[in-house]
Order: sequence, then structure tokens, then C-alpha cells
Amino acid sequence: MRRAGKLIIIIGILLILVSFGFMLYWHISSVRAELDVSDTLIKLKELLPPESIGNPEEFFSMEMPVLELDGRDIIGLLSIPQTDTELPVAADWNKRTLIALPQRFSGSTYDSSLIIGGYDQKGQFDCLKKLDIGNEIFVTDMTGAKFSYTVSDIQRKKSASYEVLSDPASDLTLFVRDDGSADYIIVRCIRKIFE
Amino acid sequence: MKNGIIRFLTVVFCMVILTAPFSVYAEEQYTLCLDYSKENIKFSDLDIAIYRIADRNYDILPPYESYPVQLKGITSQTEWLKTAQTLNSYIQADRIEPYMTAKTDEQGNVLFKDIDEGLYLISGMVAEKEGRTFNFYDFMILVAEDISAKPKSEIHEPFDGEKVYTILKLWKDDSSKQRPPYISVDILKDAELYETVTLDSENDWSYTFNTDSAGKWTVVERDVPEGYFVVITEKETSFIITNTLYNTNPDDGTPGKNTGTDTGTPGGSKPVTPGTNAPQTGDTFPMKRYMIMLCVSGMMLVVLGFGMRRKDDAKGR
Repeated sequence: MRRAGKLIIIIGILLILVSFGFMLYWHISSVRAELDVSDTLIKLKELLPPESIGNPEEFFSMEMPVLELDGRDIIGLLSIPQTDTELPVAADWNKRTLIALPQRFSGSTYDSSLIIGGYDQKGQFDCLKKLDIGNEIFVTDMTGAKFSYTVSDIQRKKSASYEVLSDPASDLTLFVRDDGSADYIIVRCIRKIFE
Repeated sequence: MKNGIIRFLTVVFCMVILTAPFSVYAEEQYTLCLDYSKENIKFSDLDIAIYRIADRNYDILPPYESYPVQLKGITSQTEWLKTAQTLNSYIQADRIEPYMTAKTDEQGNVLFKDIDEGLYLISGMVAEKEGRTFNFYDFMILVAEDISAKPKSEIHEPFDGEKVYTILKLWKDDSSKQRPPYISVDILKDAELYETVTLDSENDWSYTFNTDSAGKWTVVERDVPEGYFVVITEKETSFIITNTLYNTNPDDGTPGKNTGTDTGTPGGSKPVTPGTNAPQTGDTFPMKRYMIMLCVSGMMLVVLGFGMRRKDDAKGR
């Protein structure tokens, strides 16, 4: 009985150590991803052409140009002043690299169909949890054209598919899977039109 | 009677021969009038050059057909401006002779008389007046009748001190696998070659240079990779060179990548929806939750183990 107790204690300690190991690994991955993003962000901001107001009517092709930066295709810069967040947006969807950068799931900002997904971690799309209706969001493409949006709706869904994410009434959609609840947080935005 | 018929046919034949060159081969000629004025300032004595780029069907004429530009399928004024800028960069770099040149009169007007039908590029220019710099843009105009136009212009502050220019290479294609490992760009100052630079992934497909000399700076991409056309955009001190993959569908004149998914939009090139319908955000494995569960289970086992030992100790006493 005494030996069994000792064995259970050892197993317990091992489980605690393994969980701490996972925590450390998760933390290191997050920090590395954050550093990686900040490096790409600095380069991106240096290279972005001067800003101009984005007008979709000026773009006859709905395809967004990409800049190849650090081996990744970048379509632009996502800015959320409310949470002091600035993030490069990768052009292609790849779940393996989602931890590093938010990525375009589908669409284009020129025809108001852009959907961007990200990862729930500090400095990345955890910021979506802090957004409220009426907050401003900006997407600047690689030509410097800056498109302005306002958050119009925030939804929580148990699952997300293309049909759920795409909404004709929304000009920009951001989404993330909440680590805690495992729900998808979907932020719908409408484009601001400047006269 | 027979002679009369022969004489009549001869006269008809001669009339056909004599009039044919005028009625069949003579092309219509028109007048193009351009107005170089802004804010009541008339720009006289400006040398204006025009280039006949294409026929009225937008089929590019020699010697411009080798340039990596796309004329068919353009629907917006902005894209026409960008294409004109791109073409003029190549024309200036290659010192192509203009179709016609003329000077503006005292009213800032210039007339090009008896010009052939077709699509013309009007080369832009920079003019100084009243201490300000006026930048008249390159533009394109289809001449199929007598026509007047006023070039779009912008006023710039006079050049003062050093400027930092950036050249940025952008892509519109399916994937980076199709791209060449590098591209070469000629930097020209007042149409003279200033420097040739290589852009690749090592320099993030960009190049920055400082200069304290005024002048007209332009860039052109050399040896454009096959299958791409080029659009060069100048935005303040940034030159954006965008290479777009030609649409492989010959029936569709519009440029853009041929993803075959979205045919409703001009350019036909909305990014593809991922193959799977679910976004698979990569966090389907709830790591945080498993870590907490592991830790709590471990602690419970430790407590249980100590409990068992204490019970055992109590029994032993």
C-alpha cells in the first residue's frame, strides 16, 4: 500500500512535469511567433508605399498584389487601433503557420469579401476578444491603399465553415477560435465610405 | 455597239483603279488638341510628344508589341493611367522616337493635326511655374475622331534636399513557385541609365536609394519573366512594379490569375476558397485545456498518493 502510494505520487509528479513541459513549449512557440511577426512587421512598415485612401472602384482586378517577405506572401497590414494591434496578413491559408501570422481565408478587400483568420494568442488575434461594435479596423494593401472599416457585429459560433464565415452584408470578416471556450469569435465589419 | 461596250467597260475599269486608293486604302485622319493649363496658369512652350501605341482595336503596334503590357480588358481610368506610366517608362528608357511632337502655344494648347486613327500615349512632363512644380501625367487616348483632352496634373512642392526612393516588387500570380529567383530593374534619371539593380528574396524584393539631385526618376523591369505583364506605379517616392500572370484563358481578355473559381468579377481572380469547407484554424487541439487537465490530474494523484501513504502510516502505528 505504501509502495502503491509512492508510485501514484511519482505518476502525479510526472503528469505535473509533463504539463509544465507543454506550457513551456507553448510559451516558447508563442514568443518565437511574436518575435517573428514583429520582425516581419518592421520590414513591412518600412516598405509600404505612402498611404492613400482605398477606393475599390480603382481596382479592375480583384486580385490583391503580394509582397514576398521572409518567404511568405503578404497581402497587407491589418491595424486595430482599439487594441493597439498591427499585424501583417499572409496571402495564403496554411493552418501550420497560422500561429505566426493572421492569414487570408478567402476574398479580396477590393470587392469587400475579405475573410482573415488568426490564432488566439497574445499579440495576435486574441485582440478580437477585446473588440466592440463601432471600433475601427484598417486594412492597407501592398500598394499603400488604406481601407477603413467599422465593427458591425460580433458573433460566437460553435463551428465555422465558409458558409458561416462569408456574409454578403459584411465587407470584412475576422475570426479566431477562442482557446478557452473553443467557440469561434467572428467579427463582422462594414467599409467606411469617404466622400 | 461592241466597241461602245468595250469603251464603257474601259472607262469604268479606269475609274475603279483611279478611285480605289482613296476609297479603299485611305485612312481617316484626325486632330488631337491638348490643354496644358491648371488653376488659370497656361503652360506655353512645352514640348509634347505623342506615341501611336495601338490601333483602334487595341492591338499593339510595332515597336511597342514587345513591351510587357496588357491593353485589352482595362476598365478603369486608374488602370489606364498606370499602363500609360508603365509604357512611357519603357519608351523613355529605350529612347523610342515619338510619332509626333509639338509645342504648346501661349494658351497652353497644342494641336496635333492629321494624325492616324489609333490609341495614343501622351508623354507626361514636369513644368515649373510661379515657384511650384506641376506634374502632368502620362495618359492614353483613343483617337477615332477629332478630340480634345486635358491631361491630369498634380502640384508638388519644389525639391528640397535628400529624397529616399523605394522600389517594391509585387506579384499577382498563383504561387511563388512560378516566379523567377530574381528580377533586374533599370533606374533612370532623366531617361539616362543611373543604375541597374537586382531584386530577390534576399533584399525582400525591394531596393532603396537616396538622392539629393532633382530630375525625373523612372524605373523599368528588364527580362520580364514569361507569362507576366508589368504595371509600374509611381507613388510619391515609391515605385511599385507589379507583375501579373497573364490569364491563360484566351477567350477572356482580362488579366488576372486563372484560378477558375470566380468568373463573375473582372479579372476573374478572387482568391480561392480553401479546399476544405472548415477553416481549420490550427488550434483544433485545445492545448491549454489539456495542460490544465494534466496538471490538475497530477496534483490529484500526488494528493491521493500522500493520502494513501498517511493511511498506511496510521495503520502501521
